[in-house]
Amino acid sequence: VIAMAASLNVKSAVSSGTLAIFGGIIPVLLAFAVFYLLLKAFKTS
Amino acid sequence: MQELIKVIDKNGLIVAFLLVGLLTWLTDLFSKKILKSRIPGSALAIFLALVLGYLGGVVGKGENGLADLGLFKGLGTLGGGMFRDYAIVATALGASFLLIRKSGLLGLISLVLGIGVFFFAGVGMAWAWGYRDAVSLCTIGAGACTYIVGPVTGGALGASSEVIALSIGTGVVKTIAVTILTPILAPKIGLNNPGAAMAFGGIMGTSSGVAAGLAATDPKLVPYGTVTATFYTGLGCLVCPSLLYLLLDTFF
Repeated sequence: VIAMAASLNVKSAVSSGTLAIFGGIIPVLLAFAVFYLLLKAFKTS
Repeated sequence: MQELIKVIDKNGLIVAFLLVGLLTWLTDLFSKKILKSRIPGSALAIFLALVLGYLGGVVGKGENGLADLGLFKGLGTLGGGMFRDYAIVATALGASFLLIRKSGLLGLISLVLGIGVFFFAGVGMAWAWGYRDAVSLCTIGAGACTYIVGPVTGGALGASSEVIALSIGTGVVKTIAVTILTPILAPKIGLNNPGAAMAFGGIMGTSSGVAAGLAATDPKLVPYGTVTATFYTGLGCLVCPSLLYLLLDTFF
């Protein structure tokens, strides 16, 4: 993966850096909520 | 000096392996000794690789990152199609059904939910940022799953190198977010037993992030979380460029 990164056009990707930040954080927060609900559902069933 | 440059020039691939090995070793050491494993060494290594790729693009004035510089041209081979396909096969082998049997129904549901949540949230974010073609949307969605699934999917679908780099960046941010947020949120969400750790690994997916996050929460939970997290990456590599891409292709 590191090697792949080194052969990529990172320069142009940096312009969309905010997408990487929000795309990395928001789904994680959603996943924590889903995990909490899943555990709750399994405990009550 | 001339002789050294000649040797490096003739052994580009070996130099590339050496460079990647050195970077991985140093970041791992830095993570363990300085950061007390709070941020995984692999996430640091990939972040640094992206920085180096960026600098390579600026200095070399090309579109292939460090591979644009003569000394590091071997990185182009190491990161090229042949090794990429090898990585896909090796990663997909992680999708062992023996492992999923160990994690039970909760593990299975968490895996399906985990890939679904990250993939579609990633697709939604990419759409909001103006991407409209199925290949780019699928690659960025896969990158939101993990920084391995993203480039594997992008490579398989023929996505542009810019989109693949973006998917890796998204995956790296995800790993760091999981590592930092896990010990903070664990007491509030019931992450305190092996069963919950297996479900957590299945939902979050990123092996390094889950391992580091659980190690900071309760080191005894690490093996349980990583069982399903390993499976997640293999499953993601199988379904993102196939089933999920076909699904997106019908809408975009």
